[in-house]
Amino acid sequence: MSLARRLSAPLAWALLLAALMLLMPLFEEVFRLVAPDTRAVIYQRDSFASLVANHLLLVGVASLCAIVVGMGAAILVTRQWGRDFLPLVSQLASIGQTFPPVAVLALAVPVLGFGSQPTIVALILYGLLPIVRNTLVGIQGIAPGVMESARGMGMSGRQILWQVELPLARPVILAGIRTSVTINIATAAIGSTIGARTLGDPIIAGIVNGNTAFILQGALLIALLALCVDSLFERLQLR
Amino acid sequence: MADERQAAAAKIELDAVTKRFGDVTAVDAIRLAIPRGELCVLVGTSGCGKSTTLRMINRLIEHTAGQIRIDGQQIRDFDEQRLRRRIGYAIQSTGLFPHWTVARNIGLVPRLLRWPASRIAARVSELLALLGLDESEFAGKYPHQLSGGQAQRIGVARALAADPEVLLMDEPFGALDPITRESLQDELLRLQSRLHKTIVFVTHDMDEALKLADRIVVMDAGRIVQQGSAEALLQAPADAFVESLLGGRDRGLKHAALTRVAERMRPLSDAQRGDQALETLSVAADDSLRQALSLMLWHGVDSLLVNDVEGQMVGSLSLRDVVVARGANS
Repeated sequence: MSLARRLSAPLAWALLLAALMLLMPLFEEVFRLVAPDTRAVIYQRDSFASLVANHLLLVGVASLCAIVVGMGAAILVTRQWGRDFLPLVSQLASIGQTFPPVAVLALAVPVLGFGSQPTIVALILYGLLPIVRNTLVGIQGIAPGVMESARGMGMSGRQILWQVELPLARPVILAGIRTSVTINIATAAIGSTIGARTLGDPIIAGIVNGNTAFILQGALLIALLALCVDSLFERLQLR
Repeated sequence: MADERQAAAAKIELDAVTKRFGDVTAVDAIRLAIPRGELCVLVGTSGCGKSTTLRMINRLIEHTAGQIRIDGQQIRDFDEQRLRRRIGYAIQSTGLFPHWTVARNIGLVPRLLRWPASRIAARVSELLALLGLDESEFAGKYPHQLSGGQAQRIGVARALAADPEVLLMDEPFGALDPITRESLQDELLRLQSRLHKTIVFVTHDMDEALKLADRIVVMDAGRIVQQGSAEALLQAPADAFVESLLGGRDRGLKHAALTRVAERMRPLSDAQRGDQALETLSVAADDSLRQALSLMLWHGVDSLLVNDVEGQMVGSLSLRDVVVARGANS
């Protein structure tokens, strides 16, 4: 499959996202249908483009950290010498997932203040589990005979990790990262409650002012962003 | 000079080697010397310590006590990865890397040894040819596209890739169907007659051991019960356990399976050659006495004609020839 064809689906979603983001005012009449009684139908406190960019930045930074920490932890506890920490790491990752992001925000604000930082921390914690779990499953799911012969042939630990374990676990790890990033694109919106600039801003404003059109605009852009990134990962996994 | 001394010394020596897992003694002070070029088969029931013994030789399992030497040098003196790259290793599940092509799988150890790419490619071609696999067909395939027998051949090719002097094989043919297993056994014997590797081969199948081994080492509960040639074991099993492994009352047949028809047949005189119409049943000189006996039983005859590889009639074999070695009564 050519690169262009492989990227066609994510590209289509991206174009749709860009169109909506830049040309939102053109749809004023449409949004007036859902919120006929309000004065401003299109959210204007910030440009949608900058909100999308900032939203992506938060999710990107958080996901990158979650990938490094999550994969790193999972790789460490599947080494011979790290095996003792396997149960601990699995449990910690599960706890990160069960902890509601709003509660993380509430706890993080006193320490980190308002804005982006506590949001990123919450997203990292929330996004860890799928990555840790899938990296563990991916590595542990490799046939014992493959690992045995890799060692028996005289490969070093590092060679086994890079040439055998990671390539074989790749599809499963990618699936975990995909889940994590997609969930976090949706979750990042709550950062707006503590002053991070995200696509949650129009939603919060809409809730506060009773403006359904604002809510819809924020929700639509978040959904398109999630679809765009998700289809990009789908293509990556197919390779 | 140096070569002679090396040839005299055992290639692999196990000197009072013990392995304990916690309180359990898996291998108990075994002593074994395997000469260069010998195919040594460790045989026993599961849990007897044969696989543990094998895996101690390439240090996948570290021995608890005693010494293991290769070419007189303790294996603990080597870096373990360097040691393993010098020792071929083939296992039952093949352990081929599913994300690598056949060619890349075979080239694994040469690549670890940093051979130049052209030399690796040449070696891969050579090995595929050696194992009777067409390079254009197989080199680019992935392991999941291979049959069990083909995958195991590739596994053996990979083990041989860097031309190691020692080859460890852990029940390599155990998961194959009987027909494929037999053809791979024949192939291993053919390879060994050309390559003269020092091979340690683990199996629970005594028939496989009898067929392949220069020396059979019978293990039970972590100890060596008996070692010797197939002939020696069949003649004088050390105890009831070895006897039961050898099939108890089937021993005679197992022994017959080891003897070629050619060793017992009577050459035909020219006069008899003309008479061939009398007897229509024939065996090949390379067949075993067991096969000849089976033919006689099935067809209810007491003598057979013997053909050579080209199908030329070369001799005859009577039931008496099968039962009594001629050397014994002449």
